[in-house]
Amino acid sequence: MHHALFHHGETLHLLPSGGLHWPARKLLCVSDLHLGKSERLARRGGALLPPYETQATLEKLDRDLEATKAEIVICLGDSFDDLAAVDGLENSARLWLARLMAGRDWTWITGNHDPGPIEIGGTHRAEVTLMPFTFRHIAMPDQKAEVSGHYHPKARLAGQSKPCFLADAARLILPAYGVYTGGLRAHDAALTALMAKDALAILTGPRVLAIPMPR
Amino acid sequence: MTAGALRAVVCTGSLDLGIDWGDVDLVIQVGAPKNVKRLVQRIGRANHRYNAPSKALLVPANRFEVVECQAALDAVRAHTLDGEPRGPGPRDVLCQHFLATACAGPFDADQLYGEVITAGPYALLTKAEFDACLDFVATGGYALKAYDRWQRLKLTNGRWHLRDPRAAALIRQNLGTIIDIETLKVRLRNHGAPLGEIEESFAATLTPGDTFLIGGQVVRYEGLRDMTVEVSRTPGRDPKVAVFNGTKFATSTLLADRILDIFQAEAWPDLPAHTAWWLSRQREVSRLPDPHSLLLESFPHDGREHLVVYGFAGRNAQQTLGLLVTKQMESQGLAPLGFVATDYATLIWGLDPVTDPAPLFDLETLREGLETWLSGNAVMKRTFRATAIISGLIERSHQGRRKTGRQATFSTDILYDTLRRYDPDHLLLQITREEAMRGLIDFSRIEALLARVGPRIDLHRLPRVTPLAAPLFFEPRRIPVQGEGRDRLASAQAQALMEAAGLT
Repeated sequence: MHHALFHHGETLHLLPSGGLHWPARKLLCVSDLHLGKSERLARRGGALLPPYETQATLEKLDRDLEATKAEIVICLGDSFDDLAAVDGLENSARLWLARLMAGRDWTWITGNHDPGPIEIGGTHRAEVTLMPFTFRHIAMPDQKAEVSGHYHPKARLAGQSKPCFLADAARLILPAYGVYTGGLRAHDAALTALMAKDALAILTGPRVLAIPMPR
Repeated sequence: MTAGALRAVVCTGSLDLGIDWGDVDLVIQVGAPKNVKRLVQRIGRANHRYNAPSKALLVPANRFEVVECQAALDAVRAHTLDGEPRGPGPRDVLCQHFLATACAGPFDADQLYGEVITAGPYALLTKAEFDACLDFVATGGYALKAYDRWQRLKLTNGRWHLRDPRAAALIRQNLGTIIDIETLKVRLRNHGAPLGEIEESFAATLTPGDTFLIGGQVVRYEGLRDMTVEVSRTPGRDPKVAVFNGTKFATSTLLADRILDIFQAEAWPDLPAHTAWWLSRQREVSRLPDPHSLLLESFPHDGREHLVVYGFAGRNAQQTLGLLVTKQMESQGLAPLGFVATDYATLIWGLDPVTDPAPLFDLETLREGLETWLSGNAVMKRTFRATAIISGLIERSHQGRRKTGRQATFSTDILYDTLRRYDPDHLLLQITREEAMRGLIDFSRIEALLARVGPRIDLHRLPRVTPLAAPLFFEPRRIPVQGEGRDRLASAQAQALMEAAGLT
C-alpha cells in the first residue's frame, strides 16, 4: 500500500518499492537504479557477484509501470553504475528496457555515476521541471519544490533498517531503487543539514510507514 | 606471554589447545564448559608438565551453568568423554585455496587436485566437486554466464592464472577462514590515542553520554566518526561492560543428558544452596524437565506472551527449533515477535499465547518447515555471509578501505536473496546449506529429542516467569521474527512517533 503525500497542492504516491507515482501527471519517478553494478565490480578485477541485479531491478520497475500505468518516466540519475556499464548490459536486459520505454515519455537525468549521454533511447537531461517540481540527481540548497535522489537514505523502525523517502515542505529525496545498493542513515549529517526540522522519513516495504526523520 | 611477564591472560576459546606454557598456575573457566573434552583440555593448560597436577576454578555464570559444571565434573570423574566425528572439508575453504594458489603463480588443475586429496578432510572430494569450485572461483559459476570477459581466473596453456595480477594483493589481504565480528577502533577525542577495539554490535547499543570500560579506564561515548568510536575520559561509576562474543559451542548430548539426570534427584546436597533452592522452587511452581517428556511453559510477562521449550538439545538445535516453531506460530496467527535460544531452552515471545502445542512439535511438519524456511532464515544468511567471505565472493571490510559517507557496501543478505531467486542451485547455496546443517542447524538433535519424548509434550500455563525461565531473559543474541506481529508493532510505533511529534 502506498503512502499519499500532499506536496505543493499535488498528491504524490510513495510506493512500497521506493518509486514515486504522481497520478495527475501519470508519472513514475525512480532514482539510483545502478544497473550493471555487478558487471562493473567484475570488470575492475573484484568479486564476481551474482549477475542478476539488473534483472531484479527491471522486474521491480516493470511491476510498478504495470501497476501505475505511468506514461511519463523520470530516472533521477545513477541509473547505470558507470557509463561502461551501459555497454556491458546483457542483450536481454537491453531489450527489456527498450520494451519498458516503448510508448512512454522517458527521461534519464544524469547522475554522478552516469555523467554523460548514453546509447539508449529517451531524453537526457541534467534536470527537468514539471511545475511545481524540479527533478534532479543531487539536492541543491534553497529549493522550493525539488525531487532528488543520490543519497540512498535509509532509516530504522522497530529494529529494522529500510530504504526511505525523506520529505519536508521544500524537497523530497527518493531512496535507491536498484537492488544492489547500500544506504546512508537518515541521521547522517549530510541529510540532517539538508532537511528541515519537521521532515518525515517514509519507510519502504510492504507497509509504507511515515515517522519523524531520525536525527 | 611466553616470557611469563603477564600476571594473567583473559581469552576466549583461542588458547584451549596447542599452547605449551609451563608456568600457568591456575585456569579460571568462566561460564559452562559445554563439552567434557574441552573442559579437560582447558584445565590441562595449568601446570602443563607431566608430573604436576593441573588446577582450575570453574565459575558458572548462572544457575543452569552451575548444574552443567557439576555434570561436567561428574563426567570427568567417570572418565566419559564426548566428541563429534569430524566432517568432510568445507568447500568454501577450497575455493579460497584456489585464489591463494593463483596469487603464488599459475597452476595446473589436475596436479592441484592430486595434492588436495592428500589432505585428510578432502580425501573423499570428487573431481566433479573440485571442478565446480574451480569454476566458481574463475567465472562465478552462475547459470547466467555473465562474466566471460571478466573471469577472475583464466586458463592459458593449460594453467590457471589471475586475469588481473593486481588482484593478488587484495586476495592475500582477505585470506583466512575465521570470520571476525566487525570491530570499531576506540580513541580519545582530540588526543587520537587509540584505546582498543569494540565489537560493532556493542557500539550500536551506545548513545552519547554512555560510559564503558576499555583498556582499564572508564570512558564516555561521544560519537562515531569515520568508523572510529570517539570517547573522552570520565571518572564515572557503573560503566557498561563491552561484550565480546567468542565462539559459541553447543552443550554436548552427553552433558545435556547428565544435567537432566541431576534434575531428577530428590534433593541436591552437592549443589550450592542457591541452586538447590532454585531447582526446588521450580519443582513447586511448575516442574523440572525430565528425559522422557518435553516440558513447555507459557506465561505473560512485560506485555508479551512467552513460551519456553526445555529441549536440552544444545544451542544450535534449540535455535533451529525456535525458527521452526515460530514459523508454525506465524501460520497459526499467533504473531511471534522473536526468540532466544540457549543450550537448554528456547524462549519465544509474541502477541498471543500458545494453547495447543502438539501441532507445533510434529516431526513431519518440522521437517517440511526445515525445507521451506531453510532458505529464508537468519541462520542461513549468517552462514552464507561466512561462506561468501571465505570463498572470496565478497571482501571483508578492511580498515583504511572503508568508505565514509555514502556506503558503497550492501548486505550479503541481498546477495543471498538474489541468488536464491535467480540461481537456486548455485554452488555457494549448496555449501551454505551443507555448512548450516552441520553447524548452526543441527537438526539431528531435534529428531533425537522428539523421538525420545514421543507424544509426551507437557504444556504448563503459569501466571508469571518461572525460576527456570528467568535466566533466559538475560541472554544476548535475540532473533527477531519478521512477520505479522512485527508489522503490527511497527504501525503502532510509527503512529506513536507521529503523535508525539504533533504531526498527525
